Amino acid sequence: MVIDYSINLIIAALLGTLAGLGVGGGSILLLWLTLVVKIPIEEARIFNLLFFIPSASIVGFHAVKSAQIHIRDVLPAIIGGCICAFLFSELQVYLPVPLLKKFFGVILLFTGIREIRYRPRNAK
Amino acid sequence: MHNNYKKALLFFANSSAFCIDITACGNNFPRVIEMHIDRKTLLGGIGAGTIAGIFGAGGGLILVPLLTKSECIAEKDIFPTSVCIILPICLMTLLSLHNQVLASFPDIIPYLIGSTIGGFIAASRGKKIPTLLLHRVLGWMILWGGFRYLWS
Repeated sequence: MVIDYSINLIIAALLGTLAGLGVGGGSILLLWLTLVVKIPIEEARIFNLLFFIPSASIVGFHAVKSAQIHIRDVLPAIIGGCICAFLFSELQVYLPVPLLKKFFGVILLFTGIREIRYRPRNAK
Repeated sequence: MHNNYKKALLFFANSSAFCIDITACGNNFPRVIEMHIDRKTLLGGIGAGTIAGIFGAGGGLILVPLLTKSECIAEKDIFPTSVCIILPICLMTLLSLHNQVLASFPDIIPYLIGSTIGGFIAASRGKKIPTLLLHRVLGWMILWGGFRYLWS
């Protein structure tokens, strides 16, 4: 399906805002790319990863600059995450795409339920 | 020197703390630098890396709930922290996928421009956006996506 350039730009700006806010912009973009734009999931992954970089860099830079986040506190999570990301991105090429889609579907279901039931911590 | 080793072992034994030394050498080795590690943040990072490595998205789906449960991170800092952890993970995943070529690179340009605009909006106006409503709306959208993936 061919989607107009300006529609893509508007959708990307909306999802970029959501990605910057950390509320599932990447997941929604993956759904948009695979279910609406009909891009193969393998390519949609790379699209999505590239998409996240500008938005996250701006938000991350702003957060670090305003001393909201101290890199030292999140460094172990970053290191652990990078190691796992590298290992599993190498491994995922051996996994069949239909299985990956089902697995992602299950994760999305759980996440959707969690988002619907979300309450701010101080409201609990 | 011996005391420093004892201190180091003590920190390793304590599950919530970790000691690391990168620069020290000579008589003061190992110089103990206490680095507090929150288990939930670490687990979140590992989970986010796993999900991002497999699907190229959704790291925040694992990370944000764990950060929400963590007592070390203030409520208002959860989402920026999540973004800061996922960004290097995202770069690492891209690095490992460097041999996979995008067939339609020009198609991504509007997404990159949109993402940049979105990043500026999130950084400047993020706190004014009603996140509770966003969570609800996104929840239903993600749920719909989950059903589509499972039963398509």
